[in-house]
Amino acid sequence: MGKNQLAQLSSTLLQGGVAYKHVRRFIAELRDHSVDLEQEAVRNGSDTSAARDEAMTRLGDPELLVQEMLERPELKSYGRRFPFLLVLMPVLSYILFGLILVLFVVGLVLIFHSGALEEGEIIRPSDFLIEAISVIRIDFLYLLPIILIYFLMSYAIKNHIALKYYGFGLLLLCLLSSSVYLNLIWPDPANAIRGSIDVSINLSRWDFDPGFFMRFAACVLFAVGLKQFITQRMQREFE
Amino acid sequence: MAKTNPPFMSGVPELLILRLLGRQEMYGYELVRAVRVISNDAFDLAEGVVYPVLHGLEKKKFLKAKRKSIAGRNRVYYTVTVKGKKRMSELSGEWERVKGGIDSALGEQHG
Repeated sequence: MGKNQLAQLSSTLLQGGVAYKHVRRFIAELRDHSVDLEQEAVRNGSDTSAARDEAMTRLGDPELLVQEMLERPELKSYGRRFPFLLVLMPVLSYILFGLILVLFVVGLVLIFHSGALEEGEIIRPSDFLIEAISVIRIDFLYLLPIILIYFLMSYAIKNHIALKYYGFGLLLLCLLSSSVYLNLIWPDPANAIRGSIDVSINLSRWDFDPGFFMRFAACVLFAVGLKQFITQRMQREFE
Repeated sequence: MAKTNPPFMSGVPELLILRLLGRQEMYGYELVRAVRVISNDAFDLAEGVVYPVLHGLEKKKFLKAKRKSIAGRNRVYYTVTVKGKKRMSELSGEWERVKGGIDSALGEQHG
């Protein structure tokens, strides 16, 4: 089967809602099967051109192959079956991962300073703990939205999900992640200050907070750039 | 309770594939050849049609797919799972029942 035919086939299947992983494998299998059929025909005495034609005939009409794939609902992607999930999924994933990171921080504090906590003693955390929590804070504020955008956008574009669903979901994610603040107050024994973790969504600060606008703009720009990149890569993949 | 007949003709490729892959793991082209041999070329199917069936069976957890690189060719091998073996016995039972019914009807007609 020729490159153009395979590219056309993959495009029709993805538009029909077949999951990307099945389309990708199906195309690879057809390509491979076609090579096997050509080799068999050559072994049986056909010349290269006749062998190619015979392989195409035996493999089947592309329309029939498309029909066979589309008739199986189990091969459809979840995103195409339940596109509304992509509106909520980015924000829910962000909240979930955020909670996991906060629990991780609490776990680290308990591991390193459980004794002091039990006795109600205020001690300065170890340098390692301060470093680890600072890295987690940066991951949560800046890296987590980027990772989520990458995975959700890759999934949505590869599975031909309509932009209105995942676009709205990503917009909500950008709004939420840009307005989240995570402030850490380290314990200070000298001034009897207990440490605290303050996670807040500062919606009231949107009007005058340049940090929010910077983060929001970076988030949206990253998503737009990524969309271009993934779309181009997809086109090359099935060519 | 009366048994309902599943769409048994559409279950034939499924049964054949499960039976053949129950003997040994195979990739698509190998499987189509085995179907041709075992059925004495009784099925004149478009060979590419085997893949939607394989993917469907894998999605239902009746088959397991595994990539293997052999002699420079990267192929997807399929093998039957425990759930697939159960499905094969169910389909075989259904097929035997339907076949028995048809044999009996034909026998009555010719007798």
